[in-house]
Parts: sequence; structure tokens; C-alpha cells
Amino acid sequence: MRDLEKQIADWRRSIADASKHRPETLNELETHLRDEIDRLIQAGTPAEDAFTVAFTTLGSPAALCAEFDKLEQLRRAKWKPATFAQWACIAIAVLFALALVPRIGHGRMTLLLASHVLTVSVGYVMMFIIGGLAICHVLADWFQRTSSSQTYALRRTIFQLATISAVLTAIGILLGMMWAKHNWSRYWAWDPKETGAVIVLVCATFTMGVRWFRPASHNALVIMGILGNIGTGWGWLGANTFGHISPLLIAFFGTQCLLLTAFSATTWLRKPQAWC
Amino acid sequence: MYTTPMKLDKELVAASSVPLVLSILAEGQSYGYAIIQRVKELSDGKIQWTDGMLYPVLHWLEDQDYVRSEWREADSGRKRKYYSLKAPGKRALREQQDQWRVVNRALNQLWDLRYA
Repeated sequence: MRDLEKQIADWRRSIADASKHRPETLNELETHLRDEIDRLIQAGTPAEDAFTVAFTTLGSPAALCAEFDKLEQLRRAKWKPATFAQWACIAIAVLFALALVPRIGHGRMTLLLASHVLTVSVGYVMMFIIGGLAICHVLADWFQRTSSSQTYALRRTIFQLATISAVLTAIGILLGMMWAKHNWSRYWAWDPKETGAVIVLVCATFTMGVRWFRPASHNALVIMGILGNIGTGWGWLGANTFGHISPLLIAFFGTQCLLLTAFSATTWLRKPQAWC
Repeated sequence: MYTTPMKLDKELVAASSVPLVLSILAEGQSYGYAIIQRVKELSDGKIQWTDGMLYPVLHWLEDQDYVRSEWREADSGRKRKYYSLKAPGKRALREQQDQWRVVNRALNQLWDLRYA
């Protein structure tokens, strides 16, 4: 039994040396090894052979490490537009904050109002960036089929940004309600900007929620990203140009509706090819 | 009668790993070793996984938010990491079922027609 413990300790060390497994993963693999050894001994395999058989069944340290490394590569998968989108969000948040600081300093804006402006603006911009990312992915996929690691990076980034956007927009709405109560003596009145904020929040929540209603669908995520872009455009730009339909706004919506239709059509056309 | 043990293609084994794991977890929470034993039982030992290869799949499913895991002490006193299906995992399983049923139906129709 002492030999067995030594063999297991040696095996554990060899796995740890071969790769950067977390101790938790090593514990899980060790439990598996011990379960198999117990089963083999109960089935009549001599204790001295049980380790060797269990070790072979589990896989060599090199093979195991290779499989876990594939997972790590997928986790670290990068796609340039996705990385750019993340940095763009950080930069825009910093720029917004820097632009608001002097206004607070000069007393032109209260801290409450500045916090509201910052949170909703960054939340809205993030939804635009998600939409831009989805559009970028559609275009990239048309010209050169994207790889699974790129798709993984896109999914990860969209979910991250949509979650942050939903949280920021929700906080922004609450701060706005507090400000409105203080200045206009009411929390909510469904004015164009407030309604617009709700539209953006709904878009962000739905984009974040794609993982709940269509978890394995990449297309649903891309479509939701573009729809979120249209919804945010309507909620934000529409609210700010209420009553005036500018050609720029028409071009914005028109282009995206066209892109969405084209993406849906090509996705539908591509489907039968999957069986060829 | 002597039959040569059938060896499934590596690609097919890999492609079926996610639906198999999700389906087993749909029966109730389980841990790596028990999942492998269940796969062997269901396939009469014909689906042969190198045991250690299951764990990256389980961790990937956790990354995807399909499963959750927790360490618990079994009756034997040994600590095990139990996995259970989350709501997105259940939906992903339904999507996988739809896809595999399409393949299954297409192949059945072809083979029933040809070998009837």
C-alpha cells in the first residue's frame, strides 16, 4: 500500500511537472485514478498491477497535458477585433470619465448626474461595440470562414460586454431616477430618453440572455448583436433626435437591416451544405 | 460466435462526447469516473474513451456555463467533484438531440432502404 501511495505521488508530480495544471484538476484526476485502482483490486487484479492498468486507462501524463493544453488554448483564444473591442470599451469609459471631471469641478454637473451620464453612456457604447463586433464577424465569415477559436473569442467577448452593459445601464437608470426625483420631483415619466434607456437595457439583457435560450447557437448571438445595435441606435440616437428623422439615422438603420437580412439569408442558404 | 470488437472512429467518439456527457448529467449529477463507467455500460464497452480525456470536456462544459461543479465527500470518505446540468446545458442538450436525430433519421432511411 505504501508503494501504491508512492506511485500515485510520483504520478502526480510527473503530471504537475509536465503542465501547469491547477491543484484542483490534479485532485480530480487523482480521485479518478484511485477509483479505478479500487475497482481493479475488487475485480481481482493484484494490487501491484492495479496502478499500472489504471495509469494506462487514464492516459499518459503527456497525452493528458496535451488535451488540457488544447482547452487552455481555447480559453486564451484571441480574435483581434474582439481584443480591440475590449480595449475600446476601456478607453471610451476613461475618456467619458475624464470629460466629466471638469464639469463636476466647475459645478456644472452634480456627482449624481455625472455618474448617471457615465454609466448609461458607457453601457450604450458597449452595445454599439457589440454590434460592431457582430458585423465584423459576419463580414469576416463571408470572406474567410472563421475558426472555432475565433468564434469562441467572439462569444466570450460579447457575453462579457453585454453583461457589463446591462449592469451599467441598469445602474445608470437607477441613478437617473434618483436625479429626476431630486430635480423634477418624479422618478419616471416614460419620456423619450427614459424609454430609450429601457430599450437599451432590454437589448443588453437579451444579448446576455442568448446563452439561456439558444446556448449553442453562434448565429443567434450574431443576430442578437446586430439587433441590439439597432435597438440601441433607436433608444439612444432616436431619443436624442426625437421628431427629426435625419438621413444619417436612416442610413444607420438601413445598413444594419440590410446586413441582418443578408446574414440571415446566407446562414439559411449555407444550412443544406452542412450535410454534403 | 466470435466477433471482433468494434472500434469507433476517433472523430465520432469526439463528436459524441458532449451529447453523451450532457445526457448522462441530465439523469442526475455525477462525477468523472461514474460518467465513464456509464458510457461503457451504455455502449457495451464499445465507446472507449481514454479516461483522462473526459476532464477537459467537463471543464469546457463548465466554461460554457452548461454545467456546474462542486466538491463533495462521498460515502467512502473520498472527495469527488460532482457535476450537474444547468439550464443552458439542458437547452444545449435539446439542440444536440435535434441535430443527432436528424443524422440518425437520415442514415436509418438510407440503410433501411438499401439493406431491406
